Amino acid sequence: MLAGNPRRSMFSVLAIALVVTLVATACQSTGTPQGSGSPSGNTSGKRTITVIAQWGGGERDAFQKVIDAFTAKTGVAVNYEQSRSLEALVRTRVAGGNAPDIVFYSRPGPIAEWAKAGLLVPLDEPVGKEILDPKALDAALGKSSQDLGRVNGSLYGFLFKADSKSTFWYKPASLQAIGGTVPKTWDDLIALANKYKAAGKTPFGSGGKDGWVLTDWFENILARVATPKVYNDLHVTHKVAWTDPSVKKALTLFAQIFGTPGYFPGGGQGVIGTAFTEGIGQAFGKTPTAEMFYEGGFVGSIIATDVNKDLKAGTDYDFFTFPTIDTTYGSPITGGGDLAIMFKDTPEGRALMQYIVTKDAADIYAATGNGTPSKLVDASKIPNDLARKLHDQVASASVFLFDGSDLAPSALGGDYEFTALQDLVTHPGDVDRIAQGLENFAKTAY
Amino acid sequence: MNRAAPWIFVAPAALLIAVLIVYPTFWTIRLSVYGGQGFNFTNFVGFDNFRRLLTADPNFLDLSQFPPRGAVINNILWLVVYTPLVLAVGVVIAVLADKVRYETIVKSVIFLPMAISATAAGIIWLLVYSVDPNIGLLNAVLSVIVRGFQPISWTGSVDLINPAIIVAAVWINAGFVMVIVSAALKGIPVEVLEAARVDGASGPQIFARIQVPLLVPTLSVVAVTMIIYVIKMFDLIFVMGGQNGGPLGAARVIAFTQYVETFNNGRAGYGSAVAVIMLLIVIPIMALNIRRFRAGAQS
Repeated sequence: MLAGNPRRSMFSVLAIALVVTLVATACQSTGTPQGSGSPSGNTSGKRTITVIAQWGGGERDAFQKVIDAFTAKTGVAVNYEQSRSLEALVRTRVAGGNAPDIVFYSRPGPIAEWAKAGLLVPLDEPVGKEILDPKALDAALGKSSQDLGRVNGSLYGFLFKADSKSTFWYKPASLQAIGGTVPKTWDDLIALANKYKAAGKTPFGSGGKDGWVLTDWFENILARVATPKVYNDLHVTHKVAWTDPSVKKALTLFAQIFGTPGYFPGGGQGVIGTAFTEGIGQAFGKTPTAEMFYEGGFVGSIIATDVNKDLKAGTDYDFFTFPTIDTTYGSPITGGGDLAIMFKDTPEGRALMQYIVTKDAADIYAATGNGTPSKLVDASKIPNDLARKLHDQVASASVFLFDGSDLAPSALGGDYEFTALQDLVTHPGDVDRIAQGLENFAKTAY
Repeated sequence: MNRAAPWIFVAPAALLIAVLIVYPTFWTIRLSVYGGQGFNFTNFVGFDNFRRLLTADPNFLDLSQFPPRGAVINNILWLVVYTPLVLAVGVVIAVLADKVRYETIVKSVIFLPMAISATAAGIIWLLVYSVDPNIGLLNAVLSVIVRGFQPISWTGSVDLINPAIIVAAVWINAGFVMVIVSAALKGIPVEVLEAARVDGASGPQIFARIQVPLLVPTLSVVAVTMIIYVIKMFDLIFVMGGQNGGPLGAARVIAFTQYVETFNNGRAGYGSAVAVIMLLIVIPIMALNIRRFRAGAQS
């Protein structure tokens, strides 16, 4: 019918053209930065910046305090987004041309990858007009905190939050009740576990459904049976093979502890069926089924804010340093943390990067009980003994090794290694097969 | 102008399809022959991604052990277990509900899970399956019924996680099957059923010999919908199995692998190769469906 009337079909063509134009312009306008909609009432006309990190719960609240102080000082509003699948989110946003301003991320591996792809803003160039004044940076952060974010000599990121991952959490009352003492060596730990087992208790909780919990266990063991060089070469460059004798030794010790019946609630199957926070709950929940829980320093704040608010730090829960295995290698501290990196170079983004290395920011953050690598921190600002003990453990470490799986490429350290160690937890006799599988995979991943 | 008119009407839809479906499809196919990190066309590897997926990626396809495992095998498992199961449950409920007075209530309750997002449904079932009998309904019930029962880690076991997630998916979609089948049942002329009863057919005979054959066209439409659901299955597995896709990656399916490789591991080319394989699997099913639509339109 319409086709019979040329004028009207002409009109419909115009109408369609108009709609298409409208849609196209509408799409375009969403791509431009928007200063409106800021929750903190930003009226200075400054751009709101987007920050993405993995922190939720208490960790998020702590960082929010730093953001609030920053906004109060500079008038720049910050839109904080939390994501547990941060890498997927950031990759998608970058591919879609909508990169966030600043990201805090715990894996130097992908950060180096992004830096090499030219996606990140270098923070120490050009000389004399650096985004971060090198003197201020050196005053705040040690070399190792900066080197983690250095790629081919340029600084793309630096450590903002640092956590020890060599902390073994336990219940002082439960330890006393059984007549045990804090274990200093691996043999002590096994003896204590057997003591608990003999008393009808389950010594360890674990949350191996989240694979990184298992990689952290493995890395602490490896750091205690191999040199720091072997540790780093295995993860960073794969110059050391997964079938290397020291790596296999670490895998074997790992398999022994996870493979011993009665050590974990539900055995190996229980470990891989339990998520990280559920694992904390096994040891520190209201109806506990386990006595100790190995994971990083952040476990303390998760117990206090999410798992069981009734417990008191120091008396109801405390930590000891992951026991020494071989005196040759001593007791290195493995740790994780989050590096700040910048995707978009804007005055507002620069302001935040500059702010978070200041003493003000470090003090505010330390006052929340979170770990900071900053040398400027006023120790009296740290709110409690436990947090101070954690800070001291990192500060006094003779050897500090960064979380190895976070140094490896994502496909290995963020995926295959997780499933391989879950495999080992449920098949503790298969060290050779699993080491070979890891080695085969690693060959394709670098 | 007469000839141009149909094209003009098709243009907006065609443009949208071209921009949102055709262009990304070709882009994905092109990306699938490139390797390395990120969405870029710098490292041409030919069919290497496909070779590695099909022969050297144990999480995707591992035929070296018995029973074979991997994402492809899991998709097949879903296909042969989930599809008949959800159809059977839906049909049985529809037929039984048809016979009772409070049909509307029964159907509303069964249909309810359809109104919940897969994420919420996944979390509900995670709580049901929890190892802790204080939280997990299933373990709590079993420990009351079975004496000396040890709680089972339903989503933590390599062997149990797939059935566990399939049950959750049946719970979500049985209502959908039921509603469609129920409508088709109502469409069967009463005369046919009465004639059968007059001839002395029993209830089961009427069901098997009259109702089911008359339901076949409806069932095949529902079956195809469910098969497509299975092939693009992702959300429930991500929620219930975690970012690893279950212990040892045991619950991974093809779409899950595509996500992990592309976004988590950043290997966009490798992930695109997975997407291309998925496309190749979907095409015959779509073709079948379109042929049936055409046949339906002609008759």
